[in-house]
Amino acid sequence: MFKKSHFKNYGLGLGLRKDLRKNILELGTGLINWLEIVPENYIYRGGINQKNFQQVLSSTIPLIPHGVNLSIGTAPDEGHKVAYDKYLLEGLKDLFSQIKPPWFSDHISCTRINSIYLQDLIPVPRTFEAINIVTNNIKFLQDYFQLPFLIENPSYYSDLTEPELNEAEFINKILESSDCGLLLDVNNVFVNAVNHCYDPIQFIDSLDLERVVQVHIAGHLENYKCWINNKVLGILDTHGHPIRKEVYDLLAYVSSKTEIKAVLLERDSNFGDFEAIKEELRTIELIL
Amino acid sequence: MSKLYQVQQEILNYLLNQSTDFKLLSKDSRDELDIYKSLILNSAEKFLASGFQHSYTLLKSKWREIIKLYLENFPSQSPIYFMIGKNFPEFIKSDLFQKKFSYPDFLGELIEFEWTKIELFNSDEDQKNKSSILNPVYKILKFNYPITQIIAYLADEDISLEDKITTEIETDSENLFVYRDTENLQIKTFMLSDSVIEVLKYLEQGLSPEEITSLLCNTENSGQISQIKQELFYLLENLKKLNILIKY
Repeated sequence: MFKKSHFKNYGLGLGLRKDLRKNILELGTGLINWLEIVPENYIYRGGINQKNFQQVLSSTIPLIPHGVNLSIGTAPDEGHKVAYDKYLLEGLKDLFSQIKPPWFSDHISCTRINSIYLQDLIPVPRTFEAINIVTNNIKFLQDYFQLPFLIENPSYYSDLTEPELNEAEFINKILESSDCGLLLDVNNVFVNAVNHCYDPIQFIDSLDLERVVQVHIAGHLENYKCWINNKVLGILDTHGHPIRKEVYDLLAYVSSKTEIKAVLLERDSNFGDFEAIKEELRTIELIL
Repeated sequence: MSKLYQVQQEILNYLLNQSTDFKLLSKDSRDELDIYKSLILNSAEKFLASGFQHSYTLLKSKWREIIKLYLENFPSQSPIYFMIGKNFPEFIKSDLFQKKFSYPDFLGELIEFEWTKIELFNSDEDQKNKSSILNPVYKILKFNYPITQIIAYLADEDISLEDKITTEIETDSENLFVYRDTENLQIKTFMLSDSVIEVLKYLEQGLSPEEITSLLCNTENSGQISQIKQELFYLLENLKKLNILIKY
């Protein structure tokens, strides 16, 4: 049974990325207290990346995995109850046995169809049928890893089909039926609110905030022009740009409404000067 | 079959450019799926251009078109991102690529070499195979073209791109031992003769220098055992220095 009080407080964290590793190790703990890893980057892999990872692992800083390919939104083949990739799960199980994370997470999305990895987070149509499918997949994963699981609200650029529920209802139903926690990405809330014209505060208020365990905060790119059809998208979720004030404001709002056990600054590209990243961390620290 | 399953088949077919016929997806989602298609291609183009940097030099004017065709026909089946390049050598050697694009004859071998470097750089073979005599992270490549010379030629900034593409390079076979150095974990390349490859094969089978000497003497039909033995020891010492031979 999900209980927020079962989750330990981790405070502020940063994503472990190859280009930031040295800065992070030099920084040590204090400003940041934990690191998030993309676990798919460290399974079945040797060489310098694994050696560097082992160096981080030997430090005392806690690591929390945030997956991109568990694909909890994939519909199972006929005759199967759940959809999963055994090779991926075995690799993750081995990794988790080394890092002993307090929980793990992934997005409400589909990244795998017919064994093909799409290399992006494809949205899941918001239907009652999809809720059942996602729920079965999450329950299977929680049972397999014997760890609490958090779902992340993804940014999305299409509804794909006529939705049967709004976004908050869809997320709440999955949280309830799978009895998992929520990783609330406030940048994704902002991105979706702008792209799909809704009020981000109203959206946050509609969520079951008692299920929020972790929060992601990141930057984004405005006016992405799709080179295939030349259409311009209001905002693209990149994790490669400075955080906007409106997104900080959303973090402050969530923080005022519920207890957050871990907050992550998510920066995946355009790292630039590490001082700028530290400045963003300090701003988040002040908000919390 | 669930409706979600069918929707996801339509998404996959659209992303792989196999069908644009939507029965369940809304018509508007075509433009929106194009955004995903463009994002998937943006990352793949960038990643493959850096991994296959020498091939990219030759193909950059058509890179986007090439990567699109590649992903549509050889989509990744691995949850690990770098594996997106695994089938690139096969694609370059396929009719799909060869009938549509112009390219120098050595391209297939160049791409095979570049993929081998990526694969070995990330390999976990050393963790699985700890009792190996030879460095466990290696591959022997036999090429018809002098790939190491070609790479130096492609990297030469004084030569124009047009010359790089059009100059005919003659075949000149080359055996390469590509491996990951156990000390700095960087990928190294060592040129080998056929006889050294033979020695490496014997070493892999666990034969002693004496047994190898005896086998080489039989092969060469030579009675000069002491000379062959001396040359073999000299070779083994060099292989040790290069971290090709790690337990001997």
